[in-house]
Amino acid sequence: MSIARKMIRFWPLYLMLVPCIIYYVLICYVPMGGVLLAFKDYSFRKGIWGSPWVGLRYFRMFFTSYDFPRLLRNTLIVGFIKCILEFPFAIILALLLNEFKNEKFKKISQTITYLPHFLSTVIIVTMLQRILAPNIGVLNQFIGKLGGDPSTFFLMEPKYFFQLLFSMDLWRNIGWDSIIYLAAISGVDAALYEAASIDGCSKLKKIWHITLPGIRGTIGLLFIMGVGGLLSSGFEQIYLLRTPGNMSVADTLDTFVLQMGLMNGQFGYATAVGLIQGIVGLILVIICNRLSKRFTGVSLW
Amino acid sequence: MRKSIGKRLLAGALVVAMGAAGVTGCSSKANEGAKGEESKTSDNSGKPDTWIADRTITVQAYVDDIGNSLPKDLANTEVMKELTKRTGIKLDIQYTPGDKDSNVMAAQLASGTIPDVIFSYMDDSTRKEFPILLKAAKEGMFADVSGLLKDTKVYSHYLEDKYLPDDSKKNITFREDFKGAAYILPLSVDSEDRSLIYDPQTAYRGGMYIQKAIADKLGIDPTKIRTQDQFYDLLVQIKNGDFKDDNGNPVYPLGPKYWGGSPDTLQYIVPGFTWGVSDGYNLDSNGVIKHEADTDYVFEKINYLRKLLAEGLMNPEFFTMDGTRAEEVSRSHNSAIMADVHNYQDIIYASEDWVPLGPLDDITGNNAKVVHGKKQNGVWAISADAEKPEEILKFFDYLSTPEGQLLCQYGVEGKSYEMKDGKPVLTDEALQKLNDGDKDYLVNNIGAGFGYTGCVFFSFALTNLDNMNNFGENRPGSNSSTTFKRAVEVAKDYPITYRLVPGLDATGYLSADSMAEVKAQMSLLNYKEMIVQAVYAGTDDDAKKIVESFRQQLKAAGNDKFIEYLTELYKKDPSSIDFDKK
Repeated sequence: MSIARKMIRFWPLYLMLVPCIIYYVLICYVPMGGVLLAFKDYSFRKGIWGSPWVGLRYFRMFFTSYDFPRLLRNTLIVGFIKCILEFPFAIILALLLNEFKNEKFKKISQTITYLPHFLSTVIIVTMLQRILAPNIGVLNQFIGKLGGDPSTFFLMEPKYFFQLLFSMDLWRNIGWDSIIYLAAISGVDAALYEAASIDGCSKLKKIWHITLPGIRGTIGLLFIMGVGGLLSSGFEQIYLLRTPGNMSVADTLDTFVLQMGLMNGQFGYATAVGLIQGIVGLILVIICNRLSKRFTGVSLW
Repeated sequence: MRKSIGKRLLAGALVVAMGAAGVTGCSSKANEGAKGEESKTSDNSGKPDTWIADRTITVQAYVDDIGNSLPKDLANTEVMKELTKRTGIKLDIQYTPGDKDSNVMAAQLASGTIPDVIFSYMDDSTRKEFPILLKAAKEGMFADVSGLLKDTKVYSHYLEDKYLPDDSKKNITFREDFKGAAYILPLSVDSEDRSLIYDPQTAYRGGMYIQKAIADKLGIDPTKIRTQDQFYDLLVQIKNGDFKDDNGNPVYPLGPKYWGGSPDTLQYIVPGFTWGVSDGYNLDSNGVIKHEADTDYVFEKINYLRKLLAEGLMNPEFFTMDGTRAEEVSRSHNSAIMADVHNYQDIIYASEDWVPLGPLDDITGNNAKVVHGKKQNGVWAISADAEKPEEILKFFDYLSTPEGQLLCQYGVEGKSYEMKDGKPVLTDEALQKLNDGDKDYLVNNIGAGFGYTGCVFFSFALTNLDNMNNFGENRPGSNSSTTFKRAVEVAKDYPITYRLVPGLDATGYLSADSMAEVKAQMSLLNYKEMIVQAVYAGTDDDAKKIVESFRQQLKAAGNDKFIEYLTELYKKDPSSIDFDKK
C-alpha cells in the first residue's frame, strides 16, 4: 500500500500526528537556526541574521581558554556517571521487581522507588544539605554516635562530590527508568519461561538466557540515546550542589554556558560551547549506533 | 463501525483542542503588544497643568523588590488614580520572576524587543547588569534623551556639572563613547552630596552584631573590638564561656549573616587583611597596581579563617548556609555574633538582644566606612521604539518633583496623610497599618512607596531626593512611627564614621571595549569563592595550591593587560579608581 493510500485509510492517526510534528518543527527544529549565533557577534538590535560574522572566534577562545581541560574533564566524569554508571541499575531493579511473587509488595516497592522522580531538584538538594550538614546533619550525628568525627562538611569537599551526585541521581531516577524495562519484560513470551522450567533452569539462568536477551532491543536503544548526553551534565543538580569548596570539580560545560550566556550576556560564546556539546553528542550516538548494529543487531536506524 | 466513527471524532476533537491551546498562547501575546501602543493625543483644555497625555506606558521592571510589591489592580490604587487624574498617564508595570533579575533582563533584551520603559538595579557600573545595558544602549535599543533633558524640571539637574556621581556621569549616562547621547538615567540620586553625613534617623547600621547578653557577661565593649587579634580573642572568649542557644546547644562564636551564608561577609570579618580594596586590586608601596591574590595578604586572610574554622570559632556552614536556616540559627541565638545584619531588620529593632560589634579596622588601620561620594540606586531607560519618548520622560520627571514625590511616597492627601505646618503627617490609620506591616493595605489600597515598605516602584522610580527638607522626615512616618524607634536608637548609640575615597572599583573598567576578551575570561573567576575554597582545603599545602592555581588563571585571563590599562587610567586621573594605600 502506498503512503498516500495509507494516509487516506488511517487519516485519524495521521491527524493526531500533526500537532506532534508541529511541536517538533516549532520547538526543536526552528530554534536550531540559533546555532548561527556561535559564528556571530550577536547584536540585540540586528538579531541573529543581521549580526556580523566572527568566524570561529568563540571556538578558538574556548579551546585555548585556561578552563577548557578542567571543564571537559568534569563534564565527562558527570556524563559518565549519569549515562554509563547509572545505566545498569534500572535494569537490575526491573529484574528484581519482576521476580517478586507478591503483587502487593511489588506495587508498593515500585511506587516507593519511582516517587522521588516527582520531587524537584531544589527540594532534593535542600534535603541533602540538611542530611549532610556538619555536626547537626543526620549522617554526621550518626557518625558521631559511632565515635567518628561529626564535623565532616561533605558538600565542601571535592572528593565527595561525584559520589553524592551519583547517589542523588540514582535515588531519584532508578524507579522511573525501570518502568520501561518492566514493560519490556512483560512482553517476553511466557512460554519460554515454562519451557526453561521444564528443562530445569534456575532463576538466574532464566534471567540470563531469556529475560535479558528478550529486552536486549530496549536496552540497546536506551543506551544509544543515553550516550548522546555524555557531554551534557545537566545544569540544575550541579548548580545547586556547587559550593566554593567543590567548585573545582563542579564546574561543567552546562554551568559554563549558563554563566557565559545568561549571566554575562556572551550569547555567541555560550552558543558555541553548546554547539560543541551537541555535535559531540551526535557523533557519539552515530558511533554507538553503528557498533550496536554490527555486534548486536540493535540500532536506532 | 460506530466505534470507529467515535474514535475519529475524538481524534479530530483532540487535534482541534491542541491547536486551539497553541493559538491561545500566541494570541494573548499579540493583545499585550497592542496594549502597549495605546496613545491618544487629545485636546488638553480643562485638564490640569500637570497633564501630559492620555496614554498607557508599559514598564518592564528587572527589580524583584518592585515585582514582589505590585498591586493586584494597579490602576485602582489611590496613588495611580490620582496620578492618572493629574497626568492622564496609566501605567502597566510588568515583572518576570526568574533565577536572577539580571538573567531575565539579558534574555529579554537579547530577544530584541522591550516595552516602553525598563527599570533595573544599578548601584554603579561594576554591577553585572551594566554590561548588558551598555550593549543594548550602544546597539540603539534605548531612546536618546540627551536633547530632552534640558526641558525637564528635575532631570535637567543631570546636566549640571557636579550633580551626578562621577561614575554615573562618566560611565553610565554621559559616556564618551555615547558621543553626546544619553540613554540610561540613574535613579535615587540625592539632591546634595550627603555621603559623609551620618544621620541616625536614616542610617542603615550594617555589619556584625553580637548578642548583648554575651557581651555583658564577658564585660566587653563591642565598639572597642577593632583589630583582627582582638576579634580572634573575643571569639575564643565566647567559646570558652560555654554559652548555650535557646535549644540548649552550644553557640557558635561566629555565625553566618542573617540572610544566608555568603563570601560577601569577608568585608566585615577580615577587613584587616583585605588589601585589594578596589574589588581585589590596589597599589603596592612602589605604586604598582596588583591583585590581592598576587600578594601575601591572600595567605594571611586564608590562614586566619582556617584558624577560626579549625578551632571551632565559626559555624562550618558560615559561607554556604541557606537563608531559612541562617535565619533560624540567628533567631535561636545559636550564633553569638551574626556576620551581617542591619538595624532595620526586625531581629534587631524588635528586641534588645543584639548590638553592633566593631566595625573592625581596615588595612589602613581605620574603621571608618569608605564611601565614594554621591550615590545612585537603580536606572531606567526608554525604548527606542516607544512612541513619544518626551511624554514618558515628562511623566517620570513629574514623579520626581516635590509634588510627585509626595504623592508617590505618602499617597493622597486626606486619605493616607494630612498636611501639618507644611509637612505631611501620616493619618492614624495609615501609620497603624505601617507599624503593623500591613502590606496588603499599603500596596493594594493606597499603592504608595512608603519608603520602600509599600509599592516599591513608587519609591524606586524617584530621583533628586531630599526627604528631610521636602517632608520633614527621612521616610514616611519615621517621626511618629514606633516600629523603628529601636532601629534609630541603635544607629544613635553605635555611630560609625565615613571616609571619602573617590573613584570606582577597578573591575568597573573591564566594560571598556578593549577589555572585552579579558572581561569574558575574568568573569569566570571569583576571588572570594577561591578564598573560601582555600579555607576549606584539607591541608595548608592544598590551600597554597588553590591560590597558585588562581594566580595562573588570573594571568591566563589577561590580568597583565588589564593592569596595564588600569595604570594608564590611574596616571591620567588618580581619582578614577578607589585605591586606598596603607
